Amino acid sequence: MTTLVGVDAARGRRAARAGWWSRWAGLAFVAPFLVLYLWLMIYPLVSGVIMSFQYKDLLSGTSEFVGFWNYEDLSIDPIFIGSIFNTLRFVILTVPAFVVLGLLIALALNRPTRGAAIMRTLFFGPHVLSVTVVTLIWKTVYLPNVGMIDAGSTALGLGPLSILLNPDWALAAVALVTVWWSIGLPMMLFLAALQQVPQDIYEAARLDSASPLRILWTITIPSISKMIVLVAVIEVVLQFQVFGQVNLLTGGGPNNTTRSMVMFIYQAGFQQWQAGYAAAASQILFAIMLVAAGLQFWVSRKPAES
Amino acid sequence: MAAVDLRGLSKAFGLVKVLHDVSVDIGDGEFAVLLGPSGCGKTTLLRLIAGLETLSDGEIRIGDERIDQLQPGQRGIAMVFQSYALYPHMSVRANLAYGLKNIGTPANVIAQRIDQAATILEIEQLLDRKPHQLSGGQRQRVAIGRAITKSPKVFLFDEPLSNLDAALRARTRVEISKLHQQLGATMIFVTHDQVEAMTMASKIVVMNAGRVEQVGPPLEVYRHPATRFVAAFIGTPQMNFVPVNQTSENGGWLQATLKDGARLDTRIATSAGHASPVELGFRPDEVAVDPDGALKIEVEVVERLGDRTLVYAHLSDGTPIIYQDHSDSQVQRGDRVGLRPHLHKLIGFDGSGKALHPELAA
Repeated sequence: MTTLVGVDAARGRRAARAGWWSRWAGLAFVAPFLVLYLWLMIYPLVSGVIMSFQYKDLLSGTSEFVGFWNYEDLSIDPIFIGSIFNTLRFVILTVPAFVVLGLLIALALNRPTRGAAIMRTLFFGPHVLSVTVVTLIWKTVYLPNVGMIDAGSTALGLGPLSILLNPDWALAAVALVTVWWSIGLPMMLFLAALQQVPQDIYEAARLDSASPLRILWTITIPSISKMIVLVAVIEVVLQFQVFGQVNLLTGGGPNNTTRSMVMFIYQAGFQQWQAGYAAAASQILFAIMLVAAGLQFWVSRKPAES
Repeated sequence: MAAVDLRGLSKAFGLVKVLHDVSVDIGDGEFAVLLGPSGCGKTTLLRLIAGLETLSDGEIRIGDERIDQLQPGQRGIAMVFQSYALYPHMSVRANLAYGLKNIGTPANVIAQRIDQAATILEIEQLLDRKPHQLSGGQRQRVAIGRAITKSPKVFLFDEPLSNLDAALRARTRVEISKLHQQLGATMIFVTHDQVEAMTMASKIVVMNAGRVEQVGPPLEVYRHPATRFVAAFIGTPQMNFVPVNQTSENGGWLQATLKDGARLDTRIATSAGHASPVELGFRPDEVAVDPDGALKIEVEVVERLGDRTLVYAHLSDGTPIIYQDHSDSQVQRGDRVGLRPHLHKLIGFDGSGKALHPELAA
């Protein structure tokens, strides 16, 4: 009996040692990633939150804990509040366009012809350009008096429109540039999803007397609903961070109508050197994005029963 | 009337011609099986009838109506796909209702048809499930149910049993046959499995390389194959083929001399004026073990199946021979055995593969 107990105890010790070893060995394998993750993701995130409670001047290097003072200040800053609404308007202008237009283009180009392949390349093409190139191209289109649009409108007798100088149209003009520039990614994602839908359920639907429109509505869209949600969430997150196009096309004008939240953060942090103030604005942007993406996800998770 | 009339159908994909002038009549209420090896064009033929492919030439009629110009949904057909092709995001009930909804059937009629189909197929308890919650066999029933609810003139089946396990396949075979009797509808069934064809069909259409080799009831196709291809394709184990070296006449009947000099008498009439055979064929069960038999074989493998014994052997020139012996057969590997094929069962095949049939026994 004693021997048996002894054997069991030795076996138990071995097992415990093996368990201990496998735990630490596992940790050792993920440690390099964990270190980088903590250092490059969590540390900046936390220090950003801390910074948002400080008055921090990057030029003089002084910092001081000020509690919610930055947030209170932001809540009555008309330019910051304006930038929130500008950003929301921009998201509302671009994200539905990315989803609907991206899907329509993907549907039109989802065929194995050479023409479709060329068109896919053309639509995806602008996506590889840098924001500077894109804005340079569109600046010449929007240029007051001599740009392509104003030349056209003048020829039609409407006179120059000077779209980028018009507070009603400037943000829409930036949105148009953004859609032109980035429509390639949603299109490619939708194409990938469409190609996953088995061909035979389309054939079954044709035998079930479904019209092309009904096939789109009752077969195609439900089959790629996950990708539609993914594209919407990705685009919400991306477009809330709009900066480059605005900075280069309008500089936030005219009359602050195109100033986005990221642009506000950039100017507060890197032009006025108010790091605490910029950090507080960043936390608000982060919270809004989190809520928007979460809302989107929650809405589309409701089962679409036919 | 839902007779299906295929007249001179041809189909080419680009330069590749996959169907050559196919003409078949399928009577009202008949169970026709399109049988052939992979790539013979049987599925293409079915898809042409369904309207999922367009004809290169020819015409298709159901009853008196020409349908090859109509949309798939307007042809009065329903199809059961090999992969079942159920709509994955819809419940079983919605799957069954979809086709009827699309043509504006009133809701009460739809509910009634679904109930009927569900009762016939015993899937009442599955109606609110999604396809991914069903087993393969259940999905298959739902796919058949989707076809039944539409009350089509013609049912098309594209190898619907190939994804089922052996036991379920045998059971479903019987069920589809029952369903055919119950509904009395015309059915066209594609398969490469000759057992399915033999057991279910009232008419078999044997296809090879885009052409129809033979059309007929199962036993006729089995006993009187029109070509060497049909003879080889139908029947398990396969028919034996013995090369003929020389032919002569013996009392009005053809006599064949084999490569090893053995002589085989046949009941193929020489007066019929057809070309002389280059091969003789006989089925493994149409042969008697006889030490004086003309075929001298050496046994390679013996399969004892309980009710019978299958013996795999070869002639001295290497030609493989399979024959069936009784269950108590003592034959062993390496034995030399004499075989005597039944005189009235020996079929000749000429150089083009056409069969030369013996006179029936008096």
